[in-house]
Amino acid sequence: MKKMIITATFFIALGQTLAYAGAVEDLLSRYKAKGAKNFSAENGQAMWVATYEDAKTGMTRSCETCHKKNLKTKGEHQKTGEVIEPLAPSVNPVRFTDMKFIEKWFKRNCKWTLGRECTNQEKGDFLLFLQKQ
Amino acid sequence: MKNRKIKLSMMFFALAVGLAAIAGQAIADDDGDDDGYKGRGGYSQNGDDRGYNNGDDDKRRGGFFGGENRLRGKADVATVAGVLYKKECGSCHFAYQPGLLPSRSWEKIMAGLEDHFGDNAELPEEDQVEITRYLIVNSADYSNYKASIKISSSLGGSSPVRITETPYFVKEHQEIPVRMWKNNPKVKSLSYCDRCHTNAKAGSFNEHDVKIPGFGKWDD
Amino acid sequence: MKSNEKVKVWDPFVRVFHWALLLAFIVAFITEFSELKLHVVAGYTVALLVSLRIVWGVIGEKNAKFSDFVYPPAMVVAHMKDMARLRHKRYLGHNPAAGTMALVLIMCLAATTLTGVLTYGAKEVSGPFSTILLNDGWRYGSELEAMHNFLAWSTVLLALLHVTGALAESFLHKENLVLAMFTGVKRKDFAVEHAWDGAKTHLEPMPLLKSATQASQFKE
Repeated sequence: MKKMIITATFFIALGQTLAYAGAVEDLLSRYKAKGAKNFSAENGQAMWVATYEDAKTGMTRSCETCHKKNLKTKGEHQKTGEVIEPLAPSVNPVRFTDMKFIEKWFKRNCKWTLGRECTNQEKGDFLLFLQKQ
Repeated sequence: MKNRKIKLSMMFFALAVGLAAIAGQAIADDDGDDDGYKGRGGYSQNGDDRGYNNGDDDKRRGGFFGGENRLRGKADVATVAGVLYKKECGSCHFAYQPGLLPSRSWEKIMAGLEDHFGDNAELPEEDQVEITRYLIVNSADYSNYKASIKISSSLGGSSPVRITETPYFVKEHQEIPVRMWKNNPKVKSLSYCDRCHTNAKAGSFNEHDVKIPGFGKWDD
Repeated sequence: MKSNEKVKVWDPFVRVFHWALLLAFIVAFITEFSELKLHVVAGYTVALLVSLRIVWGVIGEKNAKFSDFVYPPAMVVAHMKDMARLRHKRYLGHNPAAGTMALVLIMCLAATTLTGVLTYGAKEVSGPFSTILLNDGWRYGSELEAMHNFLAWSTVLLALLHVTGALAESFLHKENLVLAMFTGVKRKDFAVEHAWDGAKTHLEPMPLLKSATQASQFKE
């Protein structure tokens, strides 16, 4: 029985690791195919911590507004207080395993925070930075 | 003496007939309860079973005695069955039952996801279409649940995008003191149904199930 | 004059009505929150019984008729004054105070069932008024329910007074009135019927618990 559980855990972990790697790799190569150059985690980090002012409300927004400074802990929706699971794959291995999910949130959150959609270059930089957390 | 007996028998006959009618209706009502999503207005996962038949409001209402054979279930509103709706919308906020707003309101909301009450909640187009369809089919317009009927009859043609702005909702919540919700850090807004309605997920908004965080059971 | 001669006072319909009403009311009262369907069935039963009792109050037998137990207000007051001095007369049917209680109870129960069925229409969108209330039910639900609750509690209060009166009367006039409502018979002696029909002397308070011979002067 114990053996079975260990085996099962191993395969689940393996599956997640594979899915993880696959999703980010696929997205990065897709961004490159659309014209992005070499990705930089440093650029991703710089944009991540930068603050942006919302034209409509005058509110200062940043990725950290909701995801908080420590990516290994839970975030919180700025208005509703709804819990946001940690972004760091090191503590939350299901992060960055679903391409559709990643793209959906890039679109929403870039528009909300930066006031515009992110370029393929920027999305790749972000991914590279976040992947290392 | 004979007259007396006739009158008495008449009374007992009337009593018996009346009791039989009440009992008969009560038993008949049992058949219609809790039968889930079948029939008129129900949501069918494969799509084409749209019970659209708007306009004849009173057909949705109960018959003379129990009438619950026309109404659906004991809950106030149909529970959420849409898998995609639950996943996409329910991951950020309480999955408001589609029966809490008319279809015209849902259409408005789903057309403006870019500014969804201050958030960007844009969806991939195919998901947006699928969820909109689910919300319309199960909207208050076509639901036989009592909260749906009361909400839609309270609207009088308006199409609010907030459930909290429907006249029925406003009336039902106006007696709650502000200190219990707006100024209550554990509640903050009436939009968070499930913070006080302990059975909100099951579609039950009965006041006996209300427990206000920091204040306990709500009894008026 | 034999003091233990019996006379039929309560006809079978009055007796069945009385106890069936008590049962139905208790069922309705205890199922208020828990079992809506049973509450409704019990409520309809109360309504049926009360309606038939009103009919019986017009066409029924002597002691059951409104004309027999609805006394002029002056007489009711006079009787109550006598009661306060424990010198009130014994009646075969209802005495003026008891008759007034019966009338008020009937009216209160009628109002309770009426507001109940209206609440059922407004809040549960069921029952005979769900269609008539159509687009306004949501507006009046809570108010109707509050009225319904108030009337129900008033009925309880009145019923307790009624029981107190019956028990006190049983004790003071040495006659088991609760049993009489089962058997229908009461002691015949020193009964006063329609005291206001005769001479003024009939209105004079009768010394309580006097022997039958002394009391027999009030006999019809």
